[in-house]
Amino acid sequence: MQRRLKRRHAAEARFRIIGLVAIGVSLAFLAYLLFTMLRRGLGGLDWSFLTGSDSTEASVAGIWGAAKGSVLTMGVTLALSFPLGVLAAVYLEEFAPKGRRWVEWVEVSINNLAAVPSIIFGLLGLAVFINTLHMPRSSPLVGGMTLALMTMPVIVISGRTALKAVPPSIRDAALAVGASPVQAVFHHVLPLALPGILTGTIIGMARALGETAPLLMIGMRAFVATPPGGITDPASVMPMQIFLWSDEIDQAFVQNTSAAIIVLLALLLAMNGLAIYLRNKFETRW
Amino acid sequence: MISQIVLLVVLGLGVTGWFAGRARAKALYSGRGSLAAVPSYHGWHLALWALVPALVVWAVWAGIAPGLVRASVLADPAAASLPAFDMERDAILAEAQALARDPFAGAFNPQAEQLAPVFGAIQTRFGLIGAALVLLVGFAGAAWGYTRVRSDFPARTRVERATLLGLLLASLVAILTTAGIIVSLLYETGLFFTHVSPIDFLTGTHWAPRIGTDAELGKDFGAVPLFWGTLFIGAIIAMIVAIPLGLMSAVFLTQYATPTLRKWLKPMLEILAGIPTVVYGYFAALTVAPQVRDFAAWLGMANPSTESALAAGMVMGVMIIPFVSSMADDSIAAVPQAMRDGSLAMGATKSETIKKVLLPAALPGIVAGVMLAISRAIGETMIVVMAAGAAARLSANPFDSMTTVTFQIVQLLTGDQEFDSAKTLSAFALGLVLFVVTLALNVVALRVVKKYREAYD
Repeated sequence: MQRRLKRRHAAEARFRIIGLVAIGVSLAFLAYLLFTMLRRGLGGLDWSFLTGSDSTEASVAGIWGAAKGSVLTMGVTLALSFPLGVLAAVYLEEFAPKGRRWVEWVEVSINNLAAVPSIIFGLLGLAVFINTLHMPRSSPLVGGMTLALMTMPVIVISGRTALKAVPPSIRDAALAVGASPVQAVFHHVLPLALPGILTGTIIGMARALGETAPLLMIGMRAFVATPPGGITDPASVMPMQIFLWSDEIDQAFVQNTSAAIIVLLALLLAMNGLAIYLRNKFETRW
Repeated sequence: MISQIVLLVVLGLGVTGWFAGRARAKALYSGRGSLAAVPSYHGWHLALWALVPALVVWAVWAGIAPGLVRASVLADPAAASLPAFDMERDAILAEAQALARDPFAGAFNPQAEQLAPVFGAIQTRFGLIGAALVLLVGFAGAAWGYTRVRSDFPARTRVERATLLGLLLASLVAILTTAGIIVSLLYETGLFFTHVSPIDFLTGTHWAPRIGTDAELGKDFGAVPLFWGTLFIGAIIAMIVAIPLGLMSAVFLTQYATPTLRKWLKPMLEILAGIPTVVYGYFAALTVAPQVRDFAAWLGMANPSTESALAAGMVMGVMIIPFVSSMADDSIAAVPQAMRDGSLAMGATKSETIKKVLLPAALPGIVAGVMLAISRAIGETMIVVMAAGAAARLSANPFDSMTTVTFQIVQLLTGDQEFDSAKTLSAFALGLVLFVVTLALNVVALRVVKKYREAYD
């Protein structure tokens, strides 16, 4: 009896350790990845790298050209996906007639779009924006539109969650003092849900910022030696720059690639940090 | 240039309209109940009338103007000497357009230089016509809106109706996107199947895409090795890594970790999901792949390749860990507390409760989570592009270089291309297969989750 109990307790301890090891292995991998990038990249991270553009010479190549492309692309993405996403979320959560066939279709397609592989959005962008509408190839405009289609479902889903979290009493109170349903939503419910929506938007934008595959499809792999001037100029983005440099045979580009990765990861970390900060600061528990 | 000025004017018109409408409505106010709507709603109503029709016309014009410009340039006598060849003519036209915009740009083709002034003139002409049209519609809309500012006019109802219409249109974008994906993939795949029969494509085992129109073409478009590579890397190797690690992480986080530990560990684990895939791909190619190759050499394999299914699959597995972990976390948390308490009350240890009660009860949710994870892994592109290799082969050796559907899509569609060859079209056929498979996995998984939730509610 005693021995059996001992064995069971040993199994208990073993199980616990296996769990800890599983997390440990995952985090060790993360640490190893970050450490590798820092070790190889920190040396290349100086002012000329941050302000330069792409070059065939590893020592003068910099990240600014690609970063500016990223900024322009993200600008287009945000300008399209945020209003569309918020408005769609408001409609589906507050105004859509319940139980209609087409409303269900909208909901199903939003949920599915959130799970479609990103490369499929690239194929869509290639077939529609470039081959059919003849928009300028490898421009931030097309890249931003493609990423906006990808980001919109994320914003809609987080927006609906945030709207759902606003208690019905707010709506009822507004309606009771004579506000119309539209006024109740736009003057009272939406402002209260906004922090949640913003958090979701930032997370969606962070995902879009790190995305490479769909942009590869629409040809945003141009060699850009000068930063793009507008949203219709050929451009590259940061993840694409990493991909292009990683393909270089010249060993000197390893340092550039790693340094670019450090910059990109730092940006993503900052964005996610901002999202967490917003959530903690403005989140209301009802 | 013209188009930007027009946009600014229209926007200005909208803003002015808002103020004018509000001011006029205020002037009409003559005591309580004398106005059917608050003045600012009259302002909004007027602004909408000034903006929306003008912007619609502007968008339509921006869509059709390039075609009109092109048609009239071609109709111009200066274009008579252009070759009838489409590709060459397009190149010259594009150059002329660039020259018209920026006279200092160099021209490759002498004809483009002749054509540039014509192009510029016609462009300006159509720009002016468009500007006039937009402004006309804008002012007409504003004038109509202005006449509507009356004391009995229900401006709020109208504005709210317009708002609801806007909301509806925004939510239809999602359906449009889905439809766009399906239609464009089906259309291009249909074109592909006029070259290669679907049976050859789905059952052939030899993949060497090339340009051509001969009858033997189908023999080189057998996609089975790609499907196998995708499954082997995404659904087998990656899951062998992700399922045990993700599941055990979830068990530890939900059952053993103290709240403080959990508060720290969970976000750290989630960082793994936030790292861009291109970074994973680079790490796989730079660090993991050489180690895998050395390991293969140590095992006694003759010249193992740098690119291996194992390296790509392992890194992909790590990327998926947080996903599996959070899905498992949710489904373990959904198991009713009473079941856990019952098991513990009978004297089972914590690990016995987990193994015999919690995990079996949470199994449907975990299975659904794994299916979603697989659908992510097979759609993953950058890791396999950078680490898995290009060789299409049917092999069960994880140290072999292997290719996937996503890798081939990238390969076929980047670089120089003609869009009507079987080679580029096959990428869309692969895309369609990928879309259908991921969609099916998602639908089935969501159904499983739904059914399972109902069982405990």
